[in-house]
Amino acid sequence: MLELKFDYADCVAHSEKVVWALDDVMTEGQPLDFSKPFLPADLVRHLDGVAGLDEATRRQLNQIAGNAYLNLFQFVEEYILATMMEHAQAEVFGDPEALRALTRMVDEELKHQALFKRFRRSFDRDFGHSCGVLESAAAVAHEIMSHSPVAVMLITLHIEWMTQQHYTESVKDDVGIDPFFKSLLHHHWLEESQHARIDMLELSKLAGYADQATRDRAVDEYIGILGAFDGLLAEQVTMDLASLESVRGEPLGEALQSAIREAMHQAYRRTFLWYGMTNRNVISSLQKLSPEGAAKVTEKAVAYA
Amino acid sequence: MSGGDDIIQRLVHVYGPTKGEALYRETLERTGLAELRSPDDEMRFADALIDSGGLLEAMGRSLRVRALLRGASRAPRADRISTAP
Repeated sequence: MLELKFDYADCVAHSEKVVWALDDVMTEGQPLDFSKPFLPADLVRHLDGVAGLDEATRRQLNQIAGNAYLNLFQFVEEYILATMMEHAQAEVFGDPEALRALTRMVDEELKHQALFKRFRRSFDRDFGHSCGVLESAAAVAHEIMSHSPVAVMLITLHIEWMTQQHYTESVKDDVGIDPFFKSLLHHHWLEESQHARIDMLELSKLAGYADQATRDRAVDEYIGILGAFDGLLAEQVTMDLASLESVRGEPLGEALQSAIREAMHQAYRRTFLWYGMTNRNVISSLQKLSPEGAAKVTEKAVAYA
Repeated sequence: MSGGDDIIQRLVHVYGPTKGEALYRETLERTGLAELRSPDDEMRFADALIDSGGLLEAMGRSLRVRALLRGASRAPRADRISTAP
């Protein structure tokens, strides 16, 4: 349906070339360096306009957001791995190359979760202050997976391509961020690049069996999931503000808190929603599935820029 | 390729052409369907395979998940519906 120029065997071959071991990227208990920001300037650009933050506080807010950023990936990988296990189960005795690609993807997602949990344990120990992050991964996984299989694949495609774009456009060439954090994102990106292609192959397969009304509905469901995701991002911002106040040891004050809240929420929206909704591979897939739905997504994306 | 053709291929791949095609025909007969035309039909076929036990049960479980991903309705299997008041 999507007329793709790669297949499952290509994804397996590439995965075998770039595979890495968890301990080679981060050992358990590895100390973190907090002298540099974690997230690239481009992903937190909305904070540039917030006055009243000294350099140290900006760096700490960036690191709080960096911890939340990795946690959000750990969070969504909960439902992605459950979804891809289902897709793998559907290929038992079917297409062996698809089964290999899907089971490798599941293993890699589990490894990414383990890596991000490892990072979080080091962060919680070394940052010096408790920082709240979203914890309801299972509830969110349940909510997402209660949608149609095509809608679930659409949000998965969004997340995987968004990850690619973060790394290639914002992380790779940012020389000011912590090199270890950059290395984590690099290794994540290496394997996610196959996952994005596997998602397209799976989406193509599922969409091929769906009629136009089902495909149109799936895009509406995808837009609904993004709306719910936006609510989670707002929750994360509230936790980030509490973390920042804990670091400073005093309240931020109403005006500053409001300015940071607005800037952080917009930064997260752009990072997690806008990037995926405007990614050329996501858009071209949406256009083939549902031209009307693709137009709705493009229109909605403007608010998240 | 229809769902039925693909299922025959799976059975043939595992059991060989003669036995695989025979298993397909026998299982289809048990479902009361003439052919597999929709994900719901594939679900019925998968359930019939599950009832066969052993390796066929494993194949049926895989096809059941595939039928759900293709949009089969999530009605419970008839023999799993509780009759308790």
